Amino acid sequence: MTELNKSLQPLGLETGLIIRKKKMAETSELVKEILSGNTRAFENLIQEYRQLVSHIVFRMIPNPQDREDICQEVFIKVYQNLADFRFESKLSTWMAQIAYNLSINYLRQKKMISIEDLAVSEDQEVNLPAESIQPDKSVEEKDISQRLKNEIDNLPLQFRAIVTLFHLDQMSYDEIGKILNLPEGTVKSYLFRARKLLKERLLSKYQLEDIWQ
Amino acid sequence: MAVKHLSEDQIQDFLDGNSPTSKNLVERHIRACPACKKIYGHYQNLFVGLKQDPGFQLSPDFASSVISRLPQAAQAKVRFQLSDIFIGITGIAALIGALIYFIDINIFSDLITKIRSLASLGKSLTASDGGLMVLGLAGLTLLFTAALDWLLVEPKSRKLV
Repeated sequence: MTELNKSLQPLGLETGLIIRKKKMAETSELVKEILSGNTRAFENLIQEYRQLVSHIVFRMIPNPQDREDICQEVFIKVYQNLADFRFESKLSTWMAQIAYNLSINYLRQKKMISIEDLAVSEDQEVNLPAESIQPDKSVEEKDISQRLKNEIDNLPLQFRAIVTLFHLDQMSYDEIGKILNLPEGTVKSYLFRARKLLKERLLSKYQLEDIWQ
Repeated sequence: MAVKHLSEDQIQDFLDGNSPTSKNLVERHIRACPACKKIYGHYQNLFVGLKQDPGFQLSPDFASSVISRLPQAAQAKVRFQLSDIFIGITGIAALIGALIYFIDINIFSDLITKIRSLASLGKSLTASDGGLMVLGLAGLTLLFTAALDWLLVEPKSRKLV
């Protein structure tokens, strides 16, 4: 490592800290504005977090016609409960928690999941539905991102949420743990198992070693 | 001598940047071992694919749809808070009534007499007075616990669903 790089390292950490503090101050200001009745500020919040909320809801809810309604519900809940937000976590973590819980409640109401679906034990083998390991001709022409999306949709619910939050939203194990109410170690273990499953499914289903090439 | 390959967890950890101490060791092994290099390649491509996922698109008028629902949402919130207070106060009043009735507190003696005369009707319906008393106490305790739960614990969980 060069001297220049060495000297830049601590500065990088400090810069990260400054950016985080600035972001927190901005979020705090945004929350204050919304609580004072500024609808424009709430619209800004929607624009800032719509992607995060849609990632979670769209990944968890299979019915396309209900997804947008649930996303709307998430923002309504956020609006109703914003006064109770105590800045003990990031606003994004708190909102993601609401999105996750609302999605779980919806799936329970529609009897699409049971308690067992939410508890994958540490040593439990996760098996694929028989049809999902057959080569799928319908997607052969489609690109890898579509194949990957299909395979993610076949993962257990919590695996899906973890993969999405980690890779699409760049959240840490700690943040994901808070959202899903799981210990950090479990989040890491589920993430590793989910990615291993995805890799194996893609390789076996499409029978291609060089699937990504 | 048998070659010790990297575990898939080690490879994933390396790609996540979580193993800074063993980074060089893992890197060297991947360069030298074709079997591990192949698995590493699969994961590397998978990670790229997961990061490049375009995500999902909400309709362009999503924000305005939510904004149009805000006045109703604010009213619903106020109604919800009032019902919280009503249920809580009812529960607490029930407990105070129970304490006055079952524990011989001398204050409010008129009130106790009235409650007792009302309860005597209930007592006559059971074979044993003790049975009614236990049943009544259990019911009121449940009611009080539910009221406290509604007031103190549930609001925290309700706001997240």
